[in-house]
Amino acid sequence: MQHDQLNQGELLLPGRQVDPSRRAFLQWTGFGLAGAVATGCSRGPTRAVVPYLDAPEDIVPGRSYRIATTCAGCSAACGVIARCRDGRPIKLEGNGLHALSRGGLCAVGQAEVLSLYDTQRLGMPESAGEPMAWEAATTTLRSALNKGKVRLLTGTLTSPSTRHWIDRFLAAGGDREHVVFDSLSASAILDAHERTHGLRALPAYQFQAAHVIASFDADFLGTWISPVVFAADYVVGRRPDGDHPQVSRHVQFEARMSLTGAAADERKRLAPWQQRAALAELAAQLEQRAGVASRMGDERQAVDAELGITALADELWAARGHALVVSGTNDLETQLYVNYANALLDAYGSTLSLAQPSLQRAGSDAAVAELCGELAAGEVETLIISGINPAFEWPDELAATLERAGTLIVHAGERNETTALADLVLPALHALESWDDAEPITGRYSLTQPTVQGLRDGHSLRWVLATALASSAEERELLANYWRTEIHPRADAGGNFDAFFDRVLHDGWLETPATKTSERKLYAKSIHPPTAVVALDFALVAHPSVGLLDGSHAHNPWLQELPDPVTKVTWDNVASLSAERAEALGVVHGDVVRIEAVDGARAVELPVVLQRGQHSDVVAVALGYGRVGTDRFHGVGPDWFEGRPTVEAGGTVGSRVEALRRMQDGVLEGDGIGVTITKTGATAQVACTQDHHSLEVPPHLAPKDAEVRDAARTIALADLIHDPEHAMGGHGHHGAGNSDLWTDDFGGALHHWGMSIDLNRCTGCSGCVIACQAENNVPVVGRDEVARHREMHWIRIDRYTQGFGDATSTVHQPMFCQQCDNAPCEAVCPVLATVHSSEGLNQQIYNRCVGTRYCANTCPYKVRRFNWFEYPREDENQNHALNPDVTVRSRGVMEKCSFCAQRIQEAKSESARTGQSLADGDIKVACQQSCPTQAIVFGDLNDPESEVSKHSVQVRAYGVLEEINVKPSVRYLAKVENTGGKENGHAH
Amino acid sequence: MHTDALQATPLITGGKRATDVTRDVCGPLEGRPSKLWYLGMAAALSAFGLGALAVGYQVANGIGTWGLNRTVGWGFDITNFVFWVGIGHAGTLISAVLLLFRQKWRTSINRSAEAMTIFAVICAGIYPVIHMGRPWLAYWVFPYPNARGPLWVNFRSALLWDVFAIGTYFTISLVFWYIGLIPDLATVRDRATGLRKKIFNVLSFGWVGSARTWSRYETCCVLLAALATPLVVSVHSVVSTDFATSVIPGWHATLFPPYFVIGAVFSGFAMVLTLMIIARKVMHFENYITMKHIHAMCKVLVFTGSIVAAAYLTEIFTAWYSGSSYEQFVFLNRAGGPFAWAFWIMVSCNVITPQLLWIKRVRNSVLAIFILSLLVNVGMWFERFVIIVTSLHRDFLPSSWSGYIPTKIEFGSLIFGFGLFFTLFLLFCRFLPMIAMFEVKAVLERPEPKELPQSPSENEEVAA
Amino acid sequence: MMRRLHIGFFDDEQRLLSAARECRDRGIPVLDAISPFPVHGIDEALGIEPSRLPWVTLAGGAVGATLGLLLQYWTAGVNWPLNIGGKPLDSFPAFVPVAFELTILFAGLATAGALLLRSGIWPGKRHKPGFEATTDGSHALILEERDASFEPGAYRELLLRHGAERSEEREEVIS
Repeated sequence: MQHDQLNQGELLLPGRQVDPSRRAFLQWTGFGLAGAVATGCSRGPTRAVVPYLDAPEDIVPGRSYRIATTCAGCSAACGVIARCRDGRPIKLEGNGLHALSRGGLCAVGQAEVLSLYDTQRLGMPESAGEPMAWEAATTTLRSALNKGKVRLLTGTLTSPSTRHWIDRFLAAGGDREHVVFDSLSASAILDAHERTHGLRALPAYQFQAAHVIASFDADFLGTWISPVVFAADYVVGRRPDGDHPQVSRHVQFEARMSLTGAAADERKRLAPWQQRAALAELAAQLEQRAGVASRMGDERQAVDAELGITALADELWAARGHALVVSGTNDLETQLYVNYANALLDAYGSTLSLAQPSLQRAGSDAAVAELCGELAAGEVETLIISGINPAFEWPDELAATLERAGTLIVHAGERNETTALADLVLPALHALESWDDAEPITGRYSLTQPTVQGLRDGHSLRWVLATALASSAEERELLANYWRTEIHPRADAGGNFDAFFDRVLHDGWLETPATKTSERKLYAKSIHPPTAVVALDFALVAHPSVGLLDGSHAHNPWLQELPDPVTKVTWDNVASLSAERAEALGVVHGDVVRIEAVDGARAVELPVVLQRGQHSDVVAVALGYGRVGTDRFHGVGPDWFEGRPTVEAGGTVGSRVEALRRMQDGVLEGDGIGVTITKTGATAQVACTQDHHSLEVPPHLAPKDAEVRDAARTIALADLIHDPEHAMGGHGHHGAGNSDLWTDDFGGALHHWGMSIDLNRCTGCSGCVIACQAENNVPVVGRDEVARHREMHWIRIDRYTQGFGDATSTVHQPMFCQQCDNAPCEAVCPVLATVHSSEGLNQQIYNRCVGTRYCANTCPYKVRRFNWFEYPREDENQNHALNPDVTVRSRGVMEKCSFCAQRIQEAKSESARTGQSLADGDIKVACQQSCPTQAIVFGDLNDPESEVSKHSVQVRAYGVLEEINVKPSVRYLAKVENTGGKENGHAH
Repeated sequence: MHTDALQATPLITGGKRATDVTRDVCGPLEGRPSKLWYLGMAAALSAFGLGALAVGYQVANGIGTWGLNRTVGWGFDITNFVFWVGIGHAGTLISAVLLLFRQKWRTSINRSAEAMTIFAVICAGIYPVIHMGRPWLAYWVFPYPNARGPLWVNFRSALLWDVFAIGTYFTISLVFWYIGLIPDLATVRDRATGLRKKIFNVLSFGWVGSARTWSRYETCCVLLAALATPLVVSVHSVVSTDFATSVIPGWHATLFPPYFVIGAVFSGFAMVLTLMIIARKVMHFENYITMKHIHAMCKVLVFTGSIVAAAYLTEIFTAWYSGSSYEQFVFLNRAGGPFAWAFWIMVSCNVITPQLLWIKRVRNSVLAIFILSLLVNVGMWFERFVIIVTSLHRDFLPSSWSGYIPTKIEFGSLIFGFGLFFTLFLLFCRFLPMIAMFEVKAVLERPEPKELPQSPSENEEVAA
Repeated sequence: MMRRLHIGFFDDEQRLLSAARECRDRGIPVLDAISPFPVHGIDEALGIEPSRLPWVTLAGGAVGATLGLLLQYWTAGVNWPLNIGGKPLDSFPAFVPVAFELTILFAGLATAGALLLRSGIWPGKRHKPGFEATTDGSHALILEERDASFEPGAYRELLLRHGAERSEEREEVIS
């Protein structure tokens, strides 16, 4: 059909509003790898763009190819497939062969491709701001290493080969130590296991095996340790459909509202200082039920009966062997009780395991405290820092000690607070241009390989240390050698190493036979009665945000503009307060408050955001903001006379709350820091993508019996099992029996693309938002535009909360173009810029659009996005991450989700080429591909056997706004709440 | 309907004879304009210039310079569009419908009322163009053969219906107006000398006024009037379908076409009143635009105003009766939501204040009427604003509810319309006979002529 | 050839009418009557047939309607059929407004055009000299002298008797 091709093909026409850099980029795409390198790299004088002399057979210009590698966005080390075009990665996706992440990839991982092209990455070694050659740098390094105390400070390194070289480096003599620091520390968990199980390790959690999950402030679906894997496991444990529904029961105790709390069946507000007592109580109760000799004693702090610890103990005990208790706290004593509780519940070996412990957190706060002591004493001659940014992440008094180091050598990818202090800066490689490996869980490996020739002259820590130890091996060699000697023998993969190595490179994943270590037993003697915790009047909960984590991604505009899944705020960290507290303070949304440590030493000022379900005695603030250099985003967004800059020149995006953290007796305290909060009287612009946070319409405007809308539906498990029709019908199946006024002139097409979204699987992690942004060249518009409700994301996560306090329940609903068959937007476009394809797609033809915005007005879902201005990239070099298959839209044009039309086309032409007809699942759209929980299913509704067709006839299935008969092609599956024995909190 | 009231006393006071009419109407065009005229022109031009700057800035930088967002895609732009189209309607109504109804009191105001129509439609036509994201492609809304397939236009889109409705309306109004001007242009020509004579010679098509021509001329006028009447009804009906054909609660209403048409007549008559009251002062036409005319228009105002009020009630009733909670919410939200202020301005200006015209003392005070007519214009502008913005800003999914804060640029675009309109109107007063002389001459009261076989009563048919 | 005209100027249309009627009764050939505004009754006094403009209007309207509908059906249903919001290719109700507007447009333009053509008036046409007064307040009755059977004095007498302000004779060339 003619119109099927309409939204292809504009790519190579320099459109009216094209900015030169993009036009230039479009030309480069015509050339090969050399083009990408020449435009990207700063090395060498030549800028010539030359086509291939001998074209590599595996690279067909214009065809994308995939490279398996590993994500370095955090220490979870998920498997990644890099989609490359003409020698350049343009999109990162989860690696389905990876046994841990199973094809899922979080927002941060998705966004890594953009940071690869960041022009501000370090290009070559520097000393006091003076660029120098690697040879010179290595010489300086070697001499620095021969001095007395040498300390190597890194984050958690999941790379066995790097750890191997660190060991050799430490063994090479002198007073050398390796200290590991995690800004998002799990130190207490490791220390606790050292005490209780004699092994300083992080257990591998198995949420899929848990029938009852009690989580104390552990945001395992959002930011805790390995959220992608945990989320995937978690939904495996929640299967509401079929004849034998198995939905785990999840109780969350937390002070702030986290993604995990939002998913929980039951949620209790728990102040940080109450946690130790609560877990002690739980342990004691389980002790009783287990009938073992009491280790907890009888003198325990009273626990608020509201918390229902007893009931919880009953539920856990009933499910022992399939129960799991987790806690995110960094308080050693509390973690001891967690281990004790898990031991009493026979959890070790079923829902968590030390047999093959996780290596995703290795940091030791105590060691860091010790190092700081040494630094303060001026004993450390040489301090090498790699991969972390202590000057930003450490509390100020610790950060100050860095300057006391004799020689400070910093190995980092970009300029940051720490490199500013360094005597020698060594540029690191980006994961997408380096050789590396990872072992997130003992015995489970994945490899990292370059997807593009190095854009910068950087080197891995492995290479730096090896070279310092007079090795002359290159990056790949170093890695391969290690695997040849260490991994290959253990893999029992046959003789030929090269074949083996190539296979692992191809799969990106290797699992060595488990070394038969049985679960360790808990030393009961390590458990003692709890010591009391002093209750605080008011505390700060400093937590990682889904987008920025520890702050290492603060230079990524995609992540800065990613709406926080909980607050929906972009471009800022905010002071989340409960409504009660805000009222007491006399502040409203947007008022700036001053949060001051009780000792009065430091303070931050932040705008207030009201958060339902938050504990009234805490203020929750995201870590990772206030990074120096984020004023680079000053120019993001349009420049016009009423426009406001995204960040003031010289300012930072958000405020650094790390300053308020404290290192106390060898523990980095992130939450439960006593603070005072005062109103400043100032107000600030908060760029929030959602103004109305509930499905309830304002009471004074609510029509009778229509106080709550049913766009996002929840159903109690009990109802689903016993009376599903009624339970869903109660929500009103308006769509049913809608008759059509029109005759259908367009039936009988081969395909009808459709999608289903399982709200019960969606955790709101927002990975899909970035996936879509990367795939579809969605621009970044800046704070002011977002504040004016002009965000461009094609897929948004609507977050609806019902109820207050402990009764707060949350539903996340991914919302995007519903590809209606009776699309209101198509009927109103005067110039036929949006029409229906023969395969049920609602197509937007950018080059025909004149921008009347009539379609957006008429869209009942408000999913259309208009280019209010020209939105160029802040860093033109990042245009290299543009997807050549998708038109870059100019100003004045409407755009929206296209169901990744380019992917459908690609799959169709591929099937035409190979002669094999399309099978269900051949086409994976961007959002679906990266969804860790596979909440999104895309497929052909004309094929009754397709997964999406099966979903759409499920009892939980419904279409949003079916009643207006626009015939959406997207079906939603209602969220299921396992209310245990109790009533469904808020049936509506 | 007002005929009886108007027969009691002469339409034109001051015992004018045909030659006096010529002198009174042509005089101002030949002399120097009054201070008041210069004053008005200065004001109009500066508003126009200021607005033009704003519009230019917006076209150069993008729609983002307006306060619109992903939820509220239309604001001042389409409000102004609908407002100006509405204003136009009274002109056609007076010239066409009253002609068909043999309402002779129209003769002294129809010329300027038609001029008002044309200028209003010009203003209206500008907004849909500048409200486009890519106005330089505005010509794509016309179905012309092209190299894109050819890709035509979407005849199912109400916005496209607008293109044809507004286009036709403008063309027909212009033709009707100019045909009406020809005899008077001839009069001006015959009084003029030198260059003016040459110019008016061209403009007057060599008109003489022979009996045969007059006979065809009148038939033509009646025919055009008969065409313009359904046209004027269709135009605002079509404009209303911009909203009525969508699924948005508060827009999706079958009541809209009649509701919009009557609203248009209402606002149009208010604007005519405003202009006539100004004109008779500035151009000293008290003898031609008498209190009779003003009263007649007041009565139309009360009448249409009351129908508009009824429409508001019907709308609310339908929402309640429909049982659709979305529809019901829209109206609760209008009256009590963030834009309640706009809603209540609309109600008080369109429903409450016009009712004061029932009081004779109010009807006799030109000042009071002037203020009331202005209020109606304000109210009708807000009616469109309320319909567009309050329906959009909170529709189906609460997640995408948002507000709307117009920017300075948007206020500029609002001023632009008024500046353009009054500039054109003042130019018209200055250079063209703003009273249809030949029609007024035909309805002059005459002293009983001697030895006349006919009864004067037959004169009343002359206007036809 | 030359022809002689007797022109009477009246200030009041009633006098013009009575004069015209007598001419008609006595069979005096009246060339034309010129007035500043349409005078009721002059048609039958001069025996002017009712205008046939309405037929032009009807034809114009018919053409407009047909073209309008054809244009829409052909572009939307034949030339490039597209699925627009699931509406059928022949969305007649949606085609009505445009067809209607085009009907009016064509009818109106045809009528106006016909008027100009039949009345022989067009932009910049030279107008008859000597009738400046008739666009102001006075009416002119133009009698034509066809043969010698009638003496000029009678014309002047007739015009003045009916109250003409003045009467004059003109000779003009007709070819």
